[in-house]
Amino acid sequence: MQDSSLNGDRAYYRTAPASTTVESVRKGHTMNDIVISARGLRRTYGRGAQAFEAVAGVDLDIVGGEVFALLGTNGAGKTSTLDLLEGLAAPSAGRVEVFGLDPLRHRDQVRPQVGIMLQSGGLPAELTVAETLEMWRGTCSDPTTVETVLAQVGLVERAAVRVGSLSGGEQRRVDLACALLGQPRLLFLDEPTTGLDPESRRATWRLLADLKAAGVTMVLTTHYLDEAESLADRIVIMDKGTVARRGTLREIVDGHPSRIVFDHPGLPVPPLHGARIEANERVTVSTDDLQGHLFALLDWAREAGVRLTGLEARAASLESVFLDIAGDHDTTPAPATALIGARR
Amino acid sequence: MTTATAPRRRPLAALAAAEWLQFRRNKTLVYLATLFPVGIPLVTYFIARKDTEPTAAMAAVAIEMLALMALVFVQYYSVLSMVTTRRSEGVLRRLRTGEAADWQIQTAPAVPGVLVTLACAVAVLAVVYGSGAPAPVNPALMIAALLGGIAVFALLALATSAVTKNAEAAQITSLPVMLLAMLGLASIRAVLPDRLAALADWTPFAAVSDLVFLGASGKTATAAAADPVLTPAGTLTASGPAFATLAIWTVLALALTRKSFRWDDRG
Repeated sequence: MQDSSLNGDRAYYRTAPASTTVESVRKGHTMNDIVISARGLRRTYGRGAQAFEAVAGVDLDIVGGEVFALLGTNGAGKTSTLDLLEGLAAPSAGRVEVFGLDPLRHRDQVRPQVGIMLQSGGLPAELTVAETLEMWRGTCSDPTTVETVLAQVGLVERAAVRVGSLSGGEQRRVDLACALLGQPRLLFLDEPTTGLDPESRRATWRLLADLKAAGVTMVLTTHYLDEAESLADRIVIMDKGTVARRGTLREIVDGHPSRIVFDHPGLPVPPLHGARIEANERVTVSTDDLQGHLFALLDWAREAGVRLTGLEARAASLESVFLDIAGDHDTTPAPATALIGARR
Repeated sequence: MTTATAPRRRPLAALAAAEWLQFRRNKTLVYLATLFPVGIPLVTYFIARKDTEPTAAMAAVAIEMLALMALVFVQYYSVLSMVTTRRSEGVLRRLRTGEAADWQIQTAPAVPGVLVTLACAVAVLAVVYGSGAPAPVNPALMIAALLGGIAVFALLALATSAVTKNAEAAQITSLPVMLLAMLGLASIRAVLPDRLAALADWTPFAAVSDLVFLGASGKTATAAAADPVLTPAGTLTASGPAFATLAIWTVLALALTRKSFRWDDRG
């Protein structure tokens, strides 16, 4: 399943020249030109027997004004891919262009248009919030004011507090404020709301939505699938360094079967046309016609006098797609949060 | 905050201002970094001239001691520990996501040390020459010694940080350069066997020491008492090997830094 989708992905990109605009984003922005283009991106850590390929051939086109989410389990290669797109590291193979330039070689020209929020902070603990932002502002070629970004991230009243004394969520927001200071056209956000309380998360989402409305392109990684669902125009799910799925939320979910699961009734389960049935201790029916097949199944159960214990029926969701991909190499059932958060 | 009206600053100035703020907040560091480079040279100087008139050689020894304290203990060690700490905290990696150039990020941590070194130098020179020491033969050489020393030891600190895991490890990894620097002290070179002394003449601090002595007394650090005092022009000619030594170490430290500097603990 994974391989076939990967081949499909490759095939799509073989036929799409780098300059083609991506059809699925027509959000009314006039600037639907390609902002980021990556082809055959690879990144290997270490060498010889210890070599580990964190990014194993990724193709991406990201269009002006869109919010692009990179999802995947820990270790899927999201941050390593971001590093390459941001121009913080050189790919072992392949190439990446940001605004038509190599982000590493033409750092001087690319960076003024880009804001980057790393996964881990890296702000000096001894400076106050205002001093930190003032320092950062001094490095920008066309900055907005410190007051503006403080208001944007809701930290006005914390301006005089040392960064080291802030909560994790507040530090995250200072980080975001730094990324916004240079008035970027392109924002990289690596887990921007990790550690934030639910209210701050919502506030950050609103801020990102405002930025999007102002035409800022965003590349986002997150472990919160609802975040991707509510913010992202297009989603890529990475697995083992490659793209396992890509598309709009609808495209990803539509291509994914719904599920009916129940305990094995002890009788042969009737064939359901167009569905795939795996009968073990639990029977799993994968179907594109959830309602029809569920009805047929219940009908059969009533006639056969069988009670379907442990019956569950679920439409496809981003979470089920995600868990399917994660589950391909992790067969032990585990709660969603553990699967999302705990690998590697 | 007056940021709305403040003119845009240059990246190096902004980063250096932030480093200076952080340095100032570390009171222990501030006291030690000013007390030792000012106190130790002045104590040696006043002990030496207790029963006699001050000589150019006494002034040279005091300024050499100032240079050792300021360049090695303040400049070298503080840049090493600051850069290593910034790397551990992820600050270097974070700064690299912005518009500042690599060299600006690397230079900023050296700025507090430069300011302290220059302030301490002004204080020591004012006391030494204000209290009746003979005027220096060529003050420009002393200034060159300090400026060259600042560059060499800051670069050596950047190079050393590549093999320094964290701020604690700096206590050990700084030892080779510190020992190398001590070898260059005039008083040490004077007691070394000839062949070792000839080698020690090429150490980075020996160059600083020679320039200080030439500037203050018109003789190299290891000259015999009977050697003649050079004219200002003569000191310039005699300073060639010292400048060459500084240049070699600058290039060497720069090459080491470019080759091995790490921005990130993640590797």
